[in-house]
Amino acid sequence: MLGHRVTENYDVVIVGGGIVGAACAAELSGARLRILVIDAGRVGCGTTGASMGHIVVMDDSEALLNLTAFSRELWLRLAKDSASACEYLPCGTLWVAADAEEMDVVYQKAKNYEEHDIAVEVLDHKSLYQYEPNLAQGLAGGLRVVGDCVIYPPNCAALLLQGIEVRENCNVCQISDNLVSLENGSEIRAEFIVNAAGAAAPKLTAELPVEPRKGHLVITARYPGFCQHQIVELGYLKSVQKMEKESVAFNIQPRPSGQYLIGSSREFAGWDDSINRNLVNRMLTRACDYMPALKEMFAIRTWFGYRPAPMLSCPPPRLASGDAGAGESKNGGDKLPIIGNWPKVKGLYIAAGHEGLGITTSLGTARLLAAEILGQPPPIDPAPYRPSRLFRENK
Amino acid sequence: MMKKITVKVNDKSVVVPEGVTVAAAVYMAGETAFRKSVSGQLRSPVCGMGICYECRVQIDNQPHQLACRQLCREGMEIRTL
Amino acid sequence: MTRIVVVGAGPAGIAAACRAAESGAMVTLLDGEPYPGGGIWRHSIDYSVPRPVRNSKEAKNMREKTKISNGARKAKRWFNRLDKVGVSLRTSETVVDITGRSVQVQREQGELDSIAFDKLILATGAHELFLPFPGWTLPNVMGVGGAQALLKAGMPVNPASPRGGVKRLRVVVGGSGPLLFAVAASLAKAGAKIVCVAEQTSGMQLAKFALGILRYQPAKMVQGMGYMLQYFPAPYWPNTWVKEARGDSQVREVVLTNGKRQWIEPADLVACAYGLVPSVELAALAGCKQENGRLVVDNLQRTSIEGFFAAGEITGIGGTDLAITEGEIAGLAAAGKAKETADYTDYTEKEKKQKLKSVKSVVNKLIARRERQQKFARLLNQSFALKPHLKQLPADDTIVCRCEDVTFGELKNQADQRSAKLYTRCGMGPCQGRVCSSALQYLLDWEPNKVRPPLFPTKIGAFISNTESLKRKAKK
Ligand SMILES: Cc1cc2nc3c(=O)[nH]c(=O)nc-3n(C[C@H](O)[C@H](O)[C@H](O)COP(=O)(O)OP(=O)(O)OC[C@H]3O[C@@H](n4cnc5c(N)ncnc54)[C@H](O)[C@@H]3O)c2cc1C
Ligand SMILES: Cc1cc2nc3c(=O)[nH]c(=O)nc-3n(C[C@H](O)[C@H](O)[C@H](O)COP(=O)(O)OP(=O)(O)OC[C@H]3O[C@@H](n4cnc5c(N)ncnc54)[C@H](O)[C@@H]3O)c2cc1C
Ligand code: FES
Repeated sequence: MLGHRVTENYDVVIVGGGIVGAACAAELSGARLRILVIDAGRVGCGTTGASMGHIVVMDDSEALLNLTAFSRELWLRLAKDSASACEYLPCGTLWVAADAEEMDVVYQKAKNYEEHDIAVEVLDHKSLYQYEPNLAQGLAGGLRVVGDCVIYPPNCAALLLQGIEVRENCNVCQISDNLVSLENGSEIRAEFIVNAAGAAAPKLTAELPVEPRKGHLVITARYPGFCQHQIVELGYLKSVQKMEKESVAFNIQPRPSGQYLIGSSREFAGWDDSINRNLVNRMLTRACDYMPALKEMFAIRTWFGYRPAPMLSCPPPRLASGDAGAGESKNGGDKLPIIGNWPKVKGLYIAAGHEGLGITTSLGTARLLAAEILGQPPPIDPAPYRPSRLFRENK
Repeated sequence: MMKKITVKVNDKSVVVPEGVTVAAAVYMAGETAFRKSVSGQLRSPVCGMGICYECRVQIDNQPHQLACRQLCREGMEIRTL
Repeated sequence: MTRIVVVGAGPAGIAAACRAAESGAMVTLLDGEPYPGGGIWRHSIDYSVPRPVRNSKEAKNMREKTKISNGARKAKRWFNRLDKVGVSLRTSETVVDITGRSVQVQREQGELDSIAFDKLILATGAHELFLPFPGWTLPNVMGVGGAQALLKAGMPVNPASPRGGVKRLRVVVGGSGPLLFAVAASLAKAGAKIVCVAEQTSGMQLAKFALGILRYQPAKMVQGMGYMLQYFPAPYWPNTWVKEARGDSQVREVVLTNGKRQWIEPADLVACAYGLVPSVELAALAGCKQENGRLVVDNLQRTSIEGFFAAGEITGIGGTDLAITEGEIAGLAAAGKAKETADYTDYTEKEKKQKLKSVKSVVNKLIARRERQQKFARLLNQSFALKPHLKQLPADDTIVCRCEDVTFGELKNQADQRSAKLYTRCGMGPCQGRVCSSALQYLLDWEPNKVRPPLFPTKIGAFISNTESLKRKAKK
């Protein structure tokens, strides 16, 4: 191309100003590095601006529990200093068990959480309704995770980016060895490049096993006091794990405004950008099964976002070319984000694949990534999230 | 003669001609403020046609009802603010 | 039989429904208001039945019981025509979503119903442009059309005073457009005391407009003079606008200005709006092409989507007569009566000629009429074009988003409507930006946000009942 080429230099370029990119920038900003955050749109207006902002400890696996618990601690610290900017609501999570079988899951989870020093309260039938009288009759009980909370993701992204150089409406079209190429033809050299482009990350890093998993939300008008917790059905866990094309689970979040966000749906539909009415209706039906009084409430808007989901079955990336032959990726089933150095491109680090937990895990992710870049000791064991776990060795 | 019906606005009985809107009944009851905004300001209808949502009142215990779009029914209980 | 759904029962929608039904189509005419007629005709015929009508026969029965007001002869003609052709008229049914070839309507009780169509005519009209000025959120500050609608629906302007007798409300009418005249007149007629009419456009523009009316629509001039005489001697000030409204629990006075000096007038009610903006939300949700906030249509009122037509203010602000003509053309075209030459390929040459002659003569006449009326519409838009100084109306602490109480100061440094929404909550409330984003489009040149379903707040139970009823239908 004959266009006028400009080459700039930075120490760190972070591609993506969602919550993950913002957190990474904030974490690195203490280190006297020249940092630039680039976003194709506006910061915090991607998946981050479409999500719920539930900060939640999940115990699906030891590694997920470690990352979410560590991240939650960081969130509580951030919220303590800037509660109103974060729209922090210390509402806790209430996992609802529909029947005796799900109650068994409650006891298991309680044990698991307690072993990791996460405060929980097991609720029997009676105490469940004391906390949330608007739940449908006939539920077995639940688990209350006291320290979980709710924040407002776009504001948090903006807060984290305060004082950091940001370039908006600027599309990155390629990342190569220590080089970021922009759509406008100019280039930026950087010692460290972070791909934090959310569900679009694989467009910039070939073979990165991440794909969009669409989720819808519905927001209600204001009805203060209707529920006090982020309430999630235990069946949610099944919905997350299920790899079928579409699934729904009951999930409701009180907003400080007295509104409620109702979720959740999961769907593999690529970058389809229409509201899936059928799925929204299923999602709302599910919500009304758990909270029948919702039927009388007004919904004022429906929207969706694309979770950056780790792909479960894809051929693993190869370190060296030549060795043909398919096979399941090593991460088959670990469902963890991808955080750390990407060995195939010089200076490239990945912070992507956070799926439905990226708001929660963004702060922990940033700590891990910063430790790796700055050569400091990692705050928790980074191995389970490292990109290298995805690669098949070529022998 | 036009038929009259009785509704209650903030517990006060008001007799209105059949066919008028809830908004009209609120005005006839002598109220000018229909709702409190999210920062506590008093508000009243602006568009009169279901666009602005400033005329929201509680009707028969149901919040967020548009006063300009609903007609009075005998015995209706309307609450402002 | 072609199933045609017409959304909006204003002049355009009624004309479209009539023409389509007369051409043999099965027509359903929907409106979210309890009464048909749109902003202008809704109460020109005094219905006195306390419930929405379900069909045009009911509407007819209602009307026969009551007398027709003077200015409503044209309305009466069209209502009568509507009665005759057997359109299924459904009021208090708001379209909240559109998918493929069906619209979802919410009834007053909060249920949803799906109505399938082969052809759709969008006649959703326009709403007023409200520009925020200090004090515009005080009770009893309302729109111009808003005051008209509320008045017609029963709002008293000479309420009984607590001390006995009646209190005539003092009204300041402000903003821009010919509606200011009409509304001041009807308020005066209902017993209000008009303090003044403050029109932002200049006397020169008004004079040009008056000459134009004489040329294009002399009847309108007579009507205008009528209004003048009716509420004379209230002053009508060109080049004047409401700068501020002041009061406590409601408005008490306004500050007016002509740019050089400002003065105070007493007011118990302020009716102020700066013209109309097309209500394109439904069309946008359907994906119809727009330009400058108007729907793009071709010679036969066809939108960019096959089978979707549009008529009336949604295609641009042009007044009742133009809306009717557009409606007629859309109705004929949707019913297949305004085919173009190419559509008659399976006819013999002779048949084709005959067909074209009869059909074309009606359509051609309408198209010619539309052209004339569009000239008037252009004059209207030129004469009342908003002056740039109105962009200075809001102060930093003036609320712009009335649903979420977001001030101009919070908004003016945002980059666009979308970040304003996410970072300030502007446009997140139940009106979904219908009021503030039109204002911000004018004040800051912001593109409005994407339209999402539901178009209007909808009961969650309604979504579900709709799913269930669809399932039942599918089983049958
Ligand atoms: C409905 C829904 C509900 C959710 N609820 C929760 C929840 O309650 N709790 C929780 O923890 N998580 C939740 N999540 C998940 C969470 O939102 C995501 O994991 C998280 O937002 C991902 O952040 P991100 O920064 O990686 O992505 P994004 O926020 O999408 O940021 C990526 C950024 O990269 C930019 N970008 C992309 N490509 C380019 C390019 N080529 N050049 C320049 N810039 C580019 C984009 O513009 C975007 O701003 C939810 C997700 C959804 C969809
Ligand atoms: C915690 C939380 C609470 C919320 N509460 C509310 C609430 O109370 N009320 C409410 O209304 N919303 C609420 N929202 C929703 C929020 O404001 C946005 O509506 C939502 O994040 C996404 O909306 P949308 O997809 O409809 O996009 P919009 O915000 O409407 O914007 C769509 C964007 O996409 C862009 N776009 C469209 N087409 C294209 C294209 N082809 N290519 C590129 N760009 C395109 C447009 O330019 C526009 O900027 C809330 C969000 C969160 C996170
Ligand atoms: S007055 Fe605007 S919605 Fe009722």
